Amino acid sequence: MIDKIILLSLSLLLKFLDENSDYFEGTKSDKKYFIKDSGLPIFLQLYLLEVKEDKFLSDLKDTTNYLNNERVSSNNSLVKSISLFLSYSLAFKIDSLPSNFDLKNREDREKTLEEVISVKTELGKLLVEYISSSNLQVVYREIKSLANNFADHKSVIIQSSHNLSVDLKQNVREYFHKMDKFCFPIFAVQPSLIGGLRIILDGKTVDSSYANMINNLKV
Amino acid sequence: MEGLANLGINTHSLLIYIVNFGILVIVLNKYLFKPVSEMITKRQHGIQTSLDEANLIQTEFQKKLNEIEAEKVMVEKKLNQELSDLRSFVETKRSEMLKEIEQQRSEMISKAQSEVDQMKLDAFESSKEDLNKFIKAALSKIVSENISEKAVNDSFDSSWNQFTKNSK
Repeated sequence: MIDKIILLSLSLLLKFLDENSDYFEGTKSDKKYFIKDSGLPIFLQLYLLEVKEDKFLSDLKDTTNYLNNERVSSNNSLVKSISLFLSYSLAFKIDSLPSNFDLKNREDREKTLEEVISVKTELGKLLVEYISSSNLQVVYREIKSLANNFADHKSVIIQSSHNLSVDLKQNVREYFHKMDKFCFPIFAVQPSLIGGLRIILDGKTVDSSYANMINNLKV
Repeated sequence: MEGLANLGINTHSLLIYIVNFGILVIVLNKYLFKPVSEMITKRQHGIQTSLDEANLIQTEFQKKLNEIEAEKVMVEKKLNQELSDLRSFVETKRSEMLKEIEQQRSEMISKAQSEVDQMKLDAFESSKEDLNKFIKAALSKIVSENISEKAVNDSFDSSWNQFTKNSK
């Protein structure tokens, strides 16, 4: 499904460049003017503002390779921008979904998603379709798999006894995003922890759960 | 001569007797006394030689006997010395073995004692561990059943704050 998001991003970019064929010749302020009313997602706008024509062509070629053989160059700014959007902006929205989201039927899931993701854009529609037709674990896994092409911290798991509040999830994401832009923490519920958190960062565990505290008690 | 004839002794016969006697002496001396004397001398010499040999043999025998006696004394002395050494060796060995046996006995007693102590400790630790597990399980159950939602949420915030603080 990530492929579809990348394909959609490529088609949006190509459509934009088709409509603005002299985009790369313009100055930065010209570019800002072109982009302002383009309707492109923010992450693509930011990408276009930064990228030069030759780098864009190189990214385009590398992205096509990625779609064919799932191998991406670590300096592919386009896929990086898409990955960043998925692992940061979209992740924030997914984190705000109710804990029983996966238990709902597809229609209800779509409705819930439409409350947090605008379906006015093609990307929004695709994301709602993508997330509602799958389950959150699969979505997380695919986003993480893409982000791991660029991340230094490849595995961050936050275990808690109950679902964490949206605010805390966002705090956690923000914290790890500052540490590593492509770091994608996975939240997991382990009722046996009773309370507190267990954080597993690249295999190193910081366990401040109640279960661990009780287990370490000296009787 | 007339005197002799007065006495009835014929001088002529006397001379004949004297000559006869002389001849007899010569003949006897030659054919009887000399061989007998030589035989006696030989015999005496043979006896003397035998006596000398007997004396020599006796002397040598005595010498040998003395040597044997001396050797016997020496062997006896040596034997006594060896016997004494053997006795002291046996005594030393005996005391060493006794010491070793005593040491082994002490070690066995000590090992048995430490095994008994370890078994006691293991049994105690096992009971302690079982009790520990039971207490922890009970505590987990009590805490999980009675903890409020607010406390749980607070625990998440607290753990997170602790993590971020420690990570700085």
